[in-house]
Amino acid sequence: MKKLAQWHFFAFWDRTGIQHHLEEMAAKGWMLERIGLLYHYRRCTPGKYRFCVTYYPDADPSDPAPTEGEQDFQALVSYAGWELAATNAQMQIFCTDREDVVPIETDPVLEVENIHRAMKPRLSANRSNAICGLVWMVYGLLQCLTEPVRFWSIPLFQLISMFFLLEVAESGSSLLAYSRWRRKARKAAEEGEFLATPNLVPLNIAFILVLVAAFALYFAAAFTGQNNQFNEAIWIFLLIPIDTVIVIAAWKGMKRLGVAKQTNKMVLNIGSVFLFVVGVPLIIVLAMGSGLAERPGVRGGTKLDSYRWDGTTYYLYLDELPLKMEDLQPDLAYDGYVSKLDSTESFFAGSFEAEQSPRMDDPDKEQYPTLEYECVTVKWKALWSLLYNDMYQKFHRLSLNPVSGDPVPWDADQAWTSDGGECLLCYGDTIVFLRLPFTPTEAQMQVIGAAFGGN
Amino acid sequence: MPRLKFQTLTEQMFYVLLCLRQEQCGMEILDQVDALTGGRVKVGSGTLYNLLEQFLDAEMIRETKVEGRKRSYILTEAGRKRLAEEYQRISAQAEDYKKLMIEGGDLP
Repeated sequence: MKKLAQWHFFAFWDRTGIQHHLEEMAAKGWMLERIGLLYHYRRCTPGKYRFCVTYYPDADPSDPAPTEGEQDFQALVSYAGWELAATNAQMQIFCTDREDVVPIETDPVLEVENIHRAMKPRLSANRSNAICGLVWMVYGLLQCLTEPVRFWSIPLFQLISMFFLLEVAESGSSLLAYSRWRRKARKAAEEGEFLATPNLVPLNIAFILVLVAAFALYFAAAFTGQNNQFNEAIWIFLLIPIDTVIVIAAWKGMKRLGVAKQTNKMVLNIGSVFLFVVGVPLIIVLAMGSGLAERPGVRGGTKLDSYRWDGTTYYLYLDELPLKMEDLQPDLAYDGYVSKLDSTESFFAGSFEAEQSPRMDDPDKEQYPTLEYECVTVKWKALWSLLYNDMYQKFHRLSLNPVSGDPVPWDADQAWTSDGGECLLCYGDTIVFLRLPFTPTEAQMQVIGAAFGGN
Repeated sequence: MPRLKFQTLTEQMFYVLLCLRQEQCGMEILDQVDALTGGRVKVGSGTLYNLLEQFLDAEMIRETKVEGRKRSYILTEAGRKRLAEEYQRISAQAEDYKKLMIEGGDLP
């Protein structure tokens, strides 16, 4: 093997960690060749090499070639006995096998200032990421508080919240670690000392692992239980990497063609905005229009056919429902019902909304009442109160004179009823909100109890 | 206390400016500081590059010519004045040392 490429988790400013690692690699016979997404190494004679990670703050990764200033800097450092190994934006990595070569940085105050100048664009990006993540986190938190059933039963919402939580944690911890190091480094520099940079590799690896675990859990939840279908989230997860590859390829292509950095950046920004701000929502709309996803994260009922009535298109569904009008009214002789079930399920909770209603174009539809209900299964017991309150509030909002009822006839643990036929029932881990078109008899209550796993 | 920029020159700053009493490029400065101090003062190439940038910004030096990757500089009047002030400061320190430690004098 003559070449080696490795992914590294060093912070951009972790000059100590990078230097040590490159010295270890060179001692094993691997010399740094270039840095892209990965660190690329070539075979070299194993030996004692000294590496120095320094920064040229005015370097711009969008420049088609190193600027005059950057080349002057590299020439001066080379004259002093150092050989340029690789560059990565402002980062300049030099190496030497000579013992007597003077270090590139001999003034710690200047070095800290220099690193800070090089870090400025990254710090701005980190701050923007932290703010953006914070906004999304607040949005997720609000959703968790105002619509807990929806939040905890849709894996996509949990993934998005976890993603932004990690973004805030990662950006925040990077900013914090850097500002802490800088404060100490400036103090040490006043005493003429160079302060080693802290090792953030374990923390960065931990963030990646948590993110991978979050995605794995999402995909596991999305393809099992009630979500076993190709939904719009998959489109997003396919589209974002494709968009990223297109943007990076365009950026590199323009660099190769010698396009000026301002033009490159402008095209890149416009392209990114178009691909991510316009492209992703466009795909979601297309996915929704094509019936791949009716609502984010929710498995819609199976469309069998469509018909038009009064200028509107309606779809026909014949989904399996746990409770049907025929179960409650066995003598009902009507086969024109449309049965629709929208369901979603995460590792924390599952929910479905069922509706059985006559076709809109049926002239006798008034004779056949509509049955609607929503069922929530709480898998993580700690969520019980939160999800129960959500359902209870919905029941109270939509019911006429709600009162606490006797659970026994329903075979339930708890029962709330109302004058309008609405009722809220609890069966073990399941909460059911029913909107019956009539006041149920005891026999019908038992049928309902049997349908939802009564005692 | 953070050091105020160029209020007190570090040894490295002092010798870089001293070398620029006559036109020099960065590479020559590296060699000259080493020769002048007998290797006592080491100026790193990255440090030198940054110092030259800062001296230029402070108009203590000016660029005189560019030959390939070599850029030459020379002290300006402001640079000479600052260097002279530093000399006065160091001389005063040396004088005080001599008075108290060598000649055995007392504090006034």
